[in-house]
Amino acid sequence: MTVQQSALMALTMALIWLGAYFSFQQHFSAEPVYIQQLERLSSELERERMRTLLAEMRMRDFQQEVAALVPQWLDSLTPGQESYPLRNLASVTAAPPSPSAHRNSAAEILLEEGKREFRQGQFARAIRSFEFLIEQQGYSRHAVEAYFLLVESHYQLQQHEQVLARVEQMIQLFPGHELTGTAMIRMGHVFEYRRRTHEAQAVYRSLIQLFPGRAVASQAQEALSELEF
Amino acid sequence: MGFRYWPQILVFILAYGLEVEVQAALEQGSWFSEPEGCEMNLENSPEESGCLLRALPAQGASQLSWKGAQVYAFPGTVIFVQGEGLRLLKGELILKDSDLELQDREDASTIVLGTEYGRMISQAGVWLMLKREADHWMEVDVLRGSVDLKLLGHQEKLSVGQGFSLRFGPVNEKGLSQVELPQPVRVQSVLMRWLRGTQKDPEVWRTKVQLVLPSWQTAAEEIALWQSQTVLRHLASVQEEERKRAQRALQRQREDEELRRLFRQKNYLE
Repeated sequence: MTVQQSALMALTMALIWLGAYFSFQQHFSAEPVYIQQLERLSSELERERMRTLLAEMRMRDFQQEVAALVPQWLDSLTPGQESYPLRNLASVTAAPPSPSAHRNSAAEILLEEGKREFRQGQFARAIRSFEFLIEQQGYSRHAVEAYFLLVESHYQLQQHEQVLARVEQMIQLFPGHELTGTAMIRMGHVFEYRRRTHEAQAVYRSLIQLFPGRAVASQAQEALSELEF
Repeated sequence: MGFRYWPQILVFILAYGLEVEVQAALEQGSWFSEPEGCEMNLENSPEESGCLLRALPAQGASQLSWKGAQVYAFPGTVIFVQGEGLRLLKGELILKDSDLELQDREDASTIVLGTEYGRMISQAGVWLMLKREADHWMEVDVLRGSVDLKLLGHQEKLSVGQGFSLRFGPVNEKGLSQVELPQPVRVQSVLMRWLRGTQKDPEVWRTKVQLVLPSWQTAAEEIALWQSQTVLRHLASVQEEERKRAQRALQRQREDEELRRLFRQKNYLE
């Protein structure tokens, strides 16, 4: 028997011994039973959660039906001790305020944050805040102001291409708004800066036509006179 | 016995000892159901007590055929199917009625989606997304077709058309389920969820999207027009109120002057 053959035989025997050892250990171990129990319990817990969810839904069904019926009865009752239980019930079932109110306040917070950064001269950060507001709360009543301040921030950083792009958007979204007119003045300035005089003149003229008698029209008139002079 | 077979014996032992496990791909999700396996019998003999289903974690959504429609539920979503209705308890789902064209589905049965705020009745050929938010408000995005909503306390049913999105929620102190103004669907987010949810071939999906996109655009334009008209009406009403207030002030001023004149006359001051 060579050394190699001996080594091979020893390895095989060791493997057989190990295999037998682990088979015996597995056979007498309680681990698989515990794993099965754990799976069964997890499954039962999940079922219980789903049944709870269903019970909550049925509770909400009932609550909403009551909430829909209570106001009809409340109208016919006098506000005294007798109607107290029903008024109490109405207060429990009444809905919380509409989330649109929260959304508006969220937009307000974002706008304030952007304004603060703008006032501190942190225009790049202000741009991020206004862009976030526009993206997340595009339907908010604060959107137009966010657009305007975004234009101003870009103008302060001399990012003229972005100024022109954002003013174009404002013209499309809020054509009659005075802030759009003010932003258009900035557009005219950018054209002047780039020596595109004819385009600047056209912008000022259209402002005078679009906003007659308003402050923005007089600003446009002034800019136009200077340009023609 | 010679030693020439030892290598073969060694290989046999090693191969015998190897544990091979096969794991199913998780691309298409499956369901966890209560009672167990109830999702199998939904079409033929639905459980009278209803069937609770939770979509298991997966890359795509879990799919279910029900009343000729397809329901795609995102992971973690819990739905309850009972009798003729389907309810969304948690999460988000996409409902797709038959692939047939709308005009062929006039006689088809409708699908009722129940909520605690009222019922949603889908029209033929509809594709919609329904989402329950953390505060239990519901949001419906109608991708194709239209959906009628009969909400608690509202006399009229609301119809949500193709390309529109609507949020509705708890009953308020007047006994009416709250409804927000309809909005155009948020295209980018909706398209991403649509593709992820239905796991379609991107080419087929693109064709379907191209078919509905023009109508979504029209919906957005309609909403914009409607909102601008609403604003104009509001402005007009404010102006009218202002005019009436000024008129009342003028009237009051005239009456005061008349009273002063009478007072001076009666007291022989003039």
